[in-house]
Amino acid sequence: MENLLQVKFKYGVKNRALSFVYTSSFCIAIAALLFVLGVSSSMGPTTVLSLCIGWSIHLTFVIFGEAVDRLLPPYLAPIPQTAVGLLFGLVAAGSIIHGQAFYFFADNYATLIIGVFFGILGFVISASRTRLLAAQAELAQAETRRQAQEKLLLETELKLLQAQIEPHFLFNTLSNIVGLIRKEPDAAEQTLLNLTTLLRSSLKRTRAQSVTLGEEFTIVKAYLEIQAIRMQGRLHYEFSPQQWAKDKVLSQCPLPPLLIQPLVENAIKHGIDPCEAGGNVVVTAQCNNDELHITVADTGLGINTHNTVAPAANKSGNGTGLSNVRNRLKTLYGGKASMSISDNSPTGLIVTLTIPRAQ
Amino acid sequence: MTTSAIVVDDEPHLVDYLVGKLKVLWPELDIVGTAMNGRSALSLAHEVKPDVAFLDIHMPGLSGLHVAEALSADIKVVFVTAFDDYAVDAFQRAAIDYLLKPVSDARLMQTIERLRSAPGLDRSGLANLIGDMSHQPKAYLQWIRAGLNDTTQLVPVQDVVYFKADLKYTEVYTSDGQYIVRRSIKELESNLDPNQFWRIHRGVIVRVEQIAMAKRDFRSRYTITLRDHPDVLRASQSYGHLFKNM
Repeated sequence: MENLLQVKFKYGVKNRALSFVYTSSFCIAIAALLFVLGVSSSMGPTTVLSLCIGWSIHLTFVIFGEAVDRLLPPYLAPIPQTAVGLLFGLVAAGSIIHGQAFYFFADNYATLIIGVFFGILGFVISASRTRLLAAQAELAQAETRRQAQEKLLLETELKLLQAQIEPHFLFNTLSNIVGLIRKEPDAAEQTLLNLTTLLRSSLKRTRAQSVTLGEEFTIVKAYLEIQAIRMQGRLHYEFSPQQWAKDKVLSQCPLPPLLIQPLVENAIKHGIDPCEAGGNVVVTAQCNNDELHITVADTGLGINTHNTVAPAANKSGNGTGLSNVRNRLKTLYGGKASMSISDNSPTGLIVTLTIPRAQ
Repeated sequence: MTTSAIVVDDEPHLVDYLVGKLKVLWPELDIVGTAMNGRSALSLAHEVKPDVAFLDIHMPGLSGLHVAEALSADIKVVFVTAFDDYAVDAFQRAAIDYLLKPVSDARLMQTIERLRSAPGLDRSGLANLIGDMSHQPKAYLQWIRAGLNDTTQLVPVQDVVYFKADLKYTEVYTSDGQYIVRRSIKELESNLDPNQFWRIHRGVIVRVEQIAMAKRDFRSRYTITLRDHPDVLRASQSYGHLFKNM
């Protein structure tokens, strides 16, 4: 922030000096023009008059500009400033040239023409200054927004990664492997391979901007297989379409990592695991030319909002995973991607992601 | 006299594993039953009256801690968990031992020695501990079932930027959408965490962390700009005190 302020300040000083030089050159140019056209007979007084009016209008803008901008709409703001500046300029020029403050050159066309010119100049300065201020404010705002977004993106990514290999999950999975190793060596091997897939992906995926749906499904499948081993019969899952691995268009569809698994995890952790009877998770993906739709539906506890108080089973942060995904979509896509959550029938949740297809 | 035991864990492979290990390391132990959730563990214990209960802590429904609290005092409890995110020290006083999964033979052997020699423990302190752990001042609203066009959506309260009263209903604004709830703003207010949401107007409740700037006008009303939403809100005079020291 400090840097930004410094930049703005420097920019402001440089800009002011420059615009003063512009005004002065403009004044001299007008005086010269009037002399060449024969409107004024002598170069000296015309230049003095021109500079007096120009500088005093310029000064009025510098001194009162911000206050007037706040009080009046942008298209009205230059009028009083130009008028006051013009008046002061005439008084000053009158004093200098004729030694008479209220000598208004009423008989001289040059005065009128200079007045009109400066009226226009006033508008131009004011308009450009308003634009400049707006641009500066926008720049500052955009910078703050960008920083906030970057921070949010990193934060959500970190949270999602931490959630991915939770210690509870890791140690329970290892215990299951130890338990299976003699009794069901094949299942133990498969679980170990699945765990490896998950661990590898969590190391690799933060660095990748984009993965394919096929890769992401492989990871989600590994995760679901491990959970199914752990929950034995309490968890059933399904991918739709079931031949997703063979569907080239679908499996090659690019998407950012760390979006689907948090949804599946949320469905198991807060939907199915707290249910003694268990339940079903269905992961569906569909794509057309413009969008990718991913749906994670579960038949777990769902969310009880009938009694406004959250049920005890949901108190352990249901929604933080979902919120992380929502934040991530927002930082990655702005308003172009969306996540919607609705009730599944008869119980459970349906979470749908809609992501624009990156080209 | 032989010792009897029950083994409780929501993951069946882990039940099998522990039962298998116990059979090898403590052949005289009579494992009289297993259970996969807290509720069935309690009814099992009631039915078979074991001397020892191996209890997993994290289980659907009733947790292992709650089961231990409800068991009669002469049943010796061993907690088994995957990760020591619970107050291990505190619960060690109420249990004979506290095992981390996966359990090694050597570690399980230690537990068996303790079970053989230790007398039963008084678990009366456990109720207070559980009470302390699960003590929640007030549960606030976490989800809002809200309408969007013709569909009903679930909106996490933590995504809400502000609420605005609309006659009997309330409009809900998130950073990327607008929903409607069939509830009055007053009804909603009583279920929102007052540390997170401020009422700034008769008909407006705003999330505190979404307030980017509060600007005072000459009638000492505040104009509020938001972080994640372009709307500008007005706070009425009577809520001005909220922004006095901002």
